[in-house]
Amino acid sequence: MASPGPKTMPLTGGATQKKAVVFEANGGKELRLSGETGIWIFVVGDLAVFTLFFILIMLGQREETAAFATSRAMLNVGAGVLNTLFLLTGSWFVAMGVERYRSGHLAKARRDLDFAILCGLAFIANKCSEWASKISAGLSPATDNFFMYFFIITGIHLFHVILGVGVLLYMRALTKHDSVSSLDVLKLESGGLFWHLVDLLWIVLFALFYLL
Amino acid sequence: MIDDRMTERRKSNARANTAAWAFLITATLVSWWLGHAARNNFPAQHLAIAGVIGTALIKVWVVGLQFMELRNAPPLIRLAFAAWVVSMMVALLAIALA
Repeated sequence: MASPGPKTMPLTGGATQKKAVVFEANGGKELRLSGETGIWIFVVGDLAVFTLFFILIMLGQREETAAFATSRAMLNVGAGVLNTLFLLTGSWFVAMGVERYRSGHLAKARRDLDFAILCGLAFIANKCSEWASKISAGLSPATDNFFMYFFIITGIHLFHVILGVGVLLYMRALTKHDSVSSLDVLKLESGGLFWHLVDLLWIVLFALFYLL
Repeated sequence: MIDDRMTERRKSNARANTAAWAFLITATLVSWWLGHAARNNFPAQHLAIAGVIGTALIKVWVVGLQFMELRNAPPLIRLAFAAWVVSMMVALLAIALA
C-alpha cells in the first residue's frame, strides 16, 4: 500500500506572516510553549501534589531507614526497571507521533501512537502482576509505612497511566481526520504532555521506591 | 523557504527525541547499578544515594526539555522548570544525606 503523503492544511495569510516573524526572531527556532494553557495548569498542579509525595517518601526513608530498606528488599527491582523502560519508550513514540502529525504524516503518527498505547498497556499489566504478587505474599498498605506509600502513591500513578492510555486512544482517533488542523495539533500536543508528565513522575517514584 | 527550514527543524527534533530516549535508557541502567551499589554496602554509600537521586532529576529535566518541548518555551518558563528540578534535587538530597 502506498504511503499517503503529508496532509497539511494551508495556514491563513496572517498566521503565516506571524509564524515567519516568530520563526525568524528566534534564529530559526520556533519559540513557543507546546499544547494548550489548560494542560500546563494541570501539569503544574499535579507536579505540586507529587512534589509533596516525593518529600513524604524521602522523610519516611530518613526516619525509618532500616525498616524502609527491609521492605524495599521485598520489591522486584527488575519489574520497576521494566516499567521504566515501557514508559520511556512510550514517551519516545508519543514525541515522534506528535512530530510526525505536525509534519502531516498522519498514518505514521497513528502507528507511533499504537506502539505508545502498547507500552502503556504493558506498564499496566506489569504493575498489576507486581501488585498481585505482593498482595498474595501478604503485603498490603497496612504492612508498614513503606508499603502504605508504595501502594497508595504508585496506585495514584497507575490511575494516571490508565487515564493516559485513554488520552492516547483519543489522540489516535484525531489522526484519522482527513488533514492536519492547528486545533488538532494543540490537542495532540496537550495529550502528549499529559503522557510525558506520567513518565516524568514515574522516573522519580522508581528511584525513591526501588533504587535507594 | 521558511517551511523548508521548519521541515529541517522537525527532522532534527526527531533525531533529538531519539538521542534523549537513548540517554534516558542508559541513565536508567546506570541508576539501577548505583541503587544496587547503595544497597550492598558500597564503600561510598552516600555517593551512590546521591547518584540515584541526581540521575533521576537529570532524567526528569531531559523529559521536560525534550519530550515536553520546554527547550523551545519562553525563557521564564524554562527557568521556572529548571528551578523546580534543582529545588527537588536539593530537597531530596538534603533529606537523604544531611
